[in-house]
Amino acid sequence: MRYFLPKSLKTKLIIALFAIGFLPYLFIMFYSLNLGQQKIIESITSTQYVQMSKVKERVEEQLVSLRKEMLFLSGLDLMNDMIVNDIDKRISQLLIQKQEDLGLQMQLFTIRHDTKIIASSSRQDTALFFDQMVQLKSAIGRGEGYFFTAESIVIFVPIESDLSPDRVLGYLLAEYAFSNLNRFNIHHEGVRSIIYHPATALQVGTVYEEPLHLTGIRGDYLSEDTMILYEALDGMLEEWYVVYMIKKSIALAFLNEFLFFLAAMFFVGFVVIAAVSFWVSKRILGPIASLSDAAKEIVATKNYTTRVQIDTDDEISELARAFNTMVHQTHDAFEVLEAENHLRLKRFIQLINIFNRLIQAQSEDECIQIALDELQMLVPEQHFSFSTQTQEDDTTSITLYIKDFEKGTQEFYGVILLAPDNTTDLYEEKFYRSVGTMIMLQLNQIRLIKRTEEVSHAKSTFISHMSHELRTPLHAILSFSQYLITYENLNEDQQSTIGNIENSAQHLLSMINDILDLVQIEAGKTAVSIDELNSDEIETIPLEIIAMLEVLAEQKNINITLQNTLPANSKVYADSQLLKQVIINLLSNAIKFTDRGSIDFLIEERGDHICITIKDTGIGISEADISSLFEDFIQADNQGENPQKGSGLGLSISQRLAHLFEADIELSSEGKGKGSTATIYLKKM
Amino acid sequence: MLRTGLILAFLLLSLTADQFVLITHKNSSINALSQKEIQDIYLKKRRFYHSMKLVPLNLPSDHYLRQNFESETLQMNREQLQTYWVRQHYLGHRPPHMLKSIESVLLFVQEVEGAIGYIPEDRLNEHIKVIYQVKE
Repeated sequence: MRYFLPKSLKTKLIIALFAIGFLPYLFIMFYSLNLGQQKIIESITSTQYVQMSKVKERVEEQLVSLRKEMLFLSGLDLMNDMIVNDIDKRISQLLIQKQEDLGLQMQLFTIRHDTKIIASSSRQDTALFFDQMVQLKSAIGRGEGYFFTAESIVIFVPIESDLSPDRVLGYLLAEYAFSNLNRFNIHHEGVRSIIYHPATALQVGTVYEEPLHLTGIRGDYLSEDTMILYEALDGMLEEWYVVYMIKKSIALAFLNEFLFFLAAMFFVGFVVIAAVSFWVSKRILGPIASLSDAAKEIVATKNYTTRVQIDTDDEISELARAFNTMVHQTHDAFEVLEAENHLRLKRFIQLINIFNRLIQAQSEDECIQIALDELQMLVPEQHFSFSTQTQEDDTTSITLYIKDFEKGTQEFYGVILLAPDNTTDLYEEKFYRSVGTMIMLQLNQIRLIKRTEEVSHAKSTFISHMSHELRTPLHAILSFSQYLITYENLNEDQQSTIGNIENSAQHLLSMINDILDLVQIEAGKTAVSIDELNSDEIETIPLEIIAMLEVLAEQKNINITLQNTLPANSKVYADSQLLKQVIINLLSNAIKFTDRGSIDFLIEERGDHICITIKDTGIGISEADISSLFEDFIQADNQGENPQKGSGLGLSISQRLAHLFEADIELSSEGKGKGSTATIYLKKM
Repeated sequence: MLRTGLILAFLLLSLTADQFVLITHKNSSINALSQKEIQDIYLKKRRFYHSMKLVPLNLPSDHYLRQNFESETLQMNREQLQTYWVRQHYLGHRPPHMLKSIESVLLFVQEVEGAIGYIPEDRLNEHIKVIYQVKE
């Protein structure tokens, strides 16, 4: 339902106005159309019924009075002249006179029992014979004083003689023509009437062409364009009806005029309401619309200086004033918020600056000093000082602890003191605590780094000292064993034992050398001199190494090839000595793990790098092992069946060396037994 | 002489014309009435003759026969009669029925049994019978 309701207040208002204006109209129109017509018809009907009753009474009255007149006439002495056949014409004169008085289309006459007409209001009838004696007799038989002919009603009264009381002299008759009834008809425009006898279909008055349907003693019905009302007459004409015919258009003329008036008023009302609603919407909703526009503008532009200007002096202007005040306050609130925001951001940046400065601190004392300085700068109204003494009151100090890494416990380090008279709120306290936490972190870090450096340095020193100390006796063992091998008087067993000693010592020595290299690299004692190498120099280094290690390869019957696809102007940064060492390591590894096949060098350009690829057809490496190959002291697992000598430091050292001149080594293999590929990525100039 | 004869003839004629007789229905049981009886009947003091209703008939008041009848037979002048009938009127009695012409009197008497009327002597016919004659 609410989806059909208009959203706009204006539309609602207009609809409401139209509803108030037109619902009564619509109701009246509905009433007029549906009930009004009925009411008007009823009213017309009842009016016409009254008219008809009057007509009915008058018709009856005329006939009754005619009959009374006749009774009076028949009682006159004069009627005794019937006895003498009205020989003196006194009755005739009386009847003529009476007929003239009544002025009706009627004939009065007297008859004798033998049907002879004795006297008549029309002279020529006299001495004729009355030919409707049968009807008269049957009327007497029915006890009625009248009977009908085709065009008239014949009313009769007996003439009784007081001179001979037991003898009826004859009858006085009045032949009353139906056409007389026409005087009771009305002939107005739209309304007319007839007197109608259904049995003979005789109509008195202007003949109505359409068939009439009359039932009961009274009624009404509507034909196509006429309203028919009818009422039965009483008395002698009881089978007769008075019928009123009213033209609908005339009958309902008033209603139609009223409806026309309503329609006109409807139109006028429409115009008036449209004008009023236009005025109202302009007068009342105009300010609201401008208010709404201002609000929209404020929302769109965030311009809180916008004001609404309303000139009226009603509730809406009050609303506008309140709106303006609200916008003004919002504007102020926004400004305050913005200022605060600025302050907060500044504080935040200052805090981050403190942390930055703190992180850069190299020593604990420096760290504390920086912290004190920065805090002082941040909160100039406070006074900060550092003490190593435990303080009783926690609220005015930042207590610092430091971790003892060996014992895993927190130790008291010191306290940053605040001026005791400056009270601090909860948030400030939290702020100082977080600064304290930061200082503690930095102190811990400084202490940890110092400690780690000390430990690492001790380790390196220990290893290099150890290696030096080990190398001297090893050299002795080597030279003595080599000497012994050359000694002739040794049997085969002894020879092989001494060979084993020599081999083991050799292995131990190379291992110690490797360790020493590693320690040297870690200690940063390896000298790095990065030079520009051109295409030829890049090619020269592998070639020299191939020449150097070719002997080992030939022992295993391995062929070594080299291909250089570099453009002539290619240049890289690298340390040629270290690069040489790396290639030696990689090539000797390749020879070591290859039993047959070939080793191919490829020097090529790949994007930003110059790559030296060493591809062998050796035992290969499983995918799982590749990632761990560069770790210290690790050789791939497959060496159970064919153990190779080596410290497992080769690749690790090579990688570290390569990193020294910003190069990288990558190892790949298609799987066990499918050979492996080592790639050195050199940084292109 | 001639003149005298004419006057005589006129007188005679007028004498005979002034003479009237009272008549009734031919079959009536009345055969003769005395002057007194006629007076009673015409003044409606007597209404029945035995069981028969009597219907006295008058001619119009300006008729010479009526004047003669009233003065000679009833022996009352017009003033006396008027006074009499006004008085009778309040008692519910009406004067005798009046017919306009001698013909109608004749016819009426022929038709109604108890009717009694007066006519000139020379208008007598066989359908009626004379019940009183003015004596010379």
